[in-house]
Amino acid sequence: MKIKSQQYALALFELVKDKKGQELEKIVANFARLLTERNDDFKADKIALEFENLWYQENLVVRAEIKSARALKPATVKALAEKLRKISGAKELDLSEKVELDIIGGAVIKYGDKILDAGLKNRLQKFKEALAV
Amino acid sequence: MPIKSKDFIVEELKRQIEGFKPEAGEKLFGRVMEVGDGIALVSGLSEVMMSEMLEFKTSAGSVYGVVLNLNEGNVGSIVLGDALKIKEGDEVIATKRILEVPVGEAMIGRVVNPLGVPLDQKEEIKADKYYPIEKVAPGVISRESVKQPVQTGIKAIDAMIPIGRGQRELIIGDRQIGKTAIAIDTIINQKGQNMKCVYVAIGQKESKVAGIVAKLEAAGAMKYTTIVLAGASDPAPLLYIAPYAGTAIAEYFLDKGEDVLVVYDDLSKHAVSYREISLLLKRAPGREAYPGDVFYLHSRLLERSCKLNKDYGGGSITSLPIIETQAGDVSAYIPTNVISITDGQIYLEPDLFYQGNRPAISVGISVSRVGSSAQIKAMKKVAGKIKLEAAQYRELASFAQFGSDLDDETKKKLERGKRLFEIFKQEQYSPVPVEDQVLIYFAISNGFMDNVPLEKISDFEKDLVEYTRNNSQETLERIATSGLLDEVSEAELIKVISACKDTLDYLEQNND
Repeated sequence: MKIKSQQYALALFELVKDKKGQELEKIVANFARLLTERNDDFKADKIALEFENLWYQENLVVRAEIKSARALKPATVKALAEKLRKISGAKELDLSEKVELDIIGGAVIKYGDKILDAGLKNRLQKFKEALAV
Repeated sequence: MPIKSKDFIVEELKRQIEGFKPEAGEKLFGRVMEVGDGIALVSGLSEVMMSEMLEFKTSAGSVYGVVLNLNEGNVGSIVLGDALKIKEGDEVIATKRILEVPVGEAMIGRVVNPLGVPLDQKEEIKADKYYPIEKVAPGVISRESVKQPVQTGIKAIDAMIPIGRGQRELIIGDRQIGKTAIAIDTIINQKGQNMKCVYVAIGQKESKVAGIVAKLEAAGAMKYTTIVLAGASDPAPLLYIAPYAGTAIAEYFLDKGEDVLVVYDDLSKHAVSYREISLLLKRAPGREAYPGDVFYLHSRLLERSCKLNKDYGGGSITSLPIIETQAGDVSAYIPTNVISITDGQIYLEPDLFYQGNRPAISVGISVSRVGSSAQIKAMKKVAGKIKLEAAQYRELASFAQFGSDLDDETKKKLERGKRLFEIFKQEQYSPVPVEDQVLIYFAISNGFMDNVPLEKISDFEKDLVEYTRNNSQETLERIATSGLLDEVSEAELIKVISACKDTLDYLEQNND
């Protein structure tokens, strides 16, 4: 029977949920052995990704990315993060920042599977569309 | 007043700039997990709607797609455009819009693809409006029964299988037997009949479509016709949406209270393209590997054909779907489905075709469930007898094969029948106006053709129409405009037919 990476991830997640220290290490080692035994070690990357997704889901962590034209001040990032935590209902944010000149100004914020485009480029585009009608 | 109008523009601009609120709209996004064969599997997009449009942000510009499957954790979508540009991991954004096509007067005379993009290298299309390609069909309240005729210009059809405005009449038969020819003739004959036409080519060879466009152009039919082309080399998703897009273009005219004729050429290929998409999306295959909802695929399309009542504008959409059978097998899955959806079918028979009876319409199996309410009164009067005679002839002809002695009455009926079937023959691209048809059928059912030799019937037809056009034009015009065949017209027709026969030299004398 073929086992999907999602199923592997779920099994591992449930096993290690409340485990710590040596016990945890043992489980992970066994898991790795199982993967090689079943010739499924090529799935490791995907399993890791799925595992992370599950972990985030369980602990209400939301991945977020802030793209801006210039590097933002720490205070601004903090304010944005606070706001994001509120709208997404997350306990914790896995926040990354990125500088991209292409958006001209403002910021584009991604969190979960949503995108909040407050970039200048997008606004100009919208303005162009509004005038065209 | 050019200055004042400029002022107006500036004012308007100011007003718009002041009123413009930049919104940081929240959008859904996902990433491409898998792509291939015109299908893309996308992760994320947790709140996306069914049949919502997706924008694939690829390195070579945007490509659009439509959601067809909502699974746990991923979304299956068809790609409308170049799927080769899309790569795994590309960003996908939900547009919150249902797929729409441009519609309007500007579409007339154009060849477009199912997304409304012109393919004829003429100027860009300035659309009045955008219509969603999928729409719920008009309900019971807004409809009325079919009663106005669509004149196909094909003698056998107009007399025996009348089609009404708002009807759905299936054209079915094997390959290379003249299915498209019937549809094209019908489009050509709509000149001056207050009818817009949409020809949807699904999976057709582009050379064939080019030929059709040239033919319609030559006949002046492109002045009221739009061609929606999803060619054989287009990906399956485009073929799949083509008939819906064609219907959306027709619905614009319907909403304006106009009559539209839509030809779907052909729905077998449409079903095949949908099967391809469904199998790629891993939906369970059923009979002949078609998915379970293949009936709904066609029923929801053909239900959009309708005749609206006066309160709703009084427009209509008549559809002529075409189905190609394999070796005359009408009991295959798709043919039986579409037969049961439509209001009748025109069945084309290979045997008749190779005997030289063209159009090869099989009179026995072809029916129109709307019936004579979709004929003008004059045609109803002459065609009532024709149907009976054709039926009697077929019955007698099968007996007469045994070669036994026949009484005079039977012989006469056989001769009449032979002539009738000779009349049903008709050249391609030469539709006959309804008043001429009334004249011809009047002549044969009243015995005026009994002494015309069988091989001269088509000559006689031509001579008769020409003579009547020259000598009794007003009678024909009266029939055409009033739609009636009263006693006065009948007397005049008898007179003119007799007079015409006096001028001919090929009639059989002894029989008269």
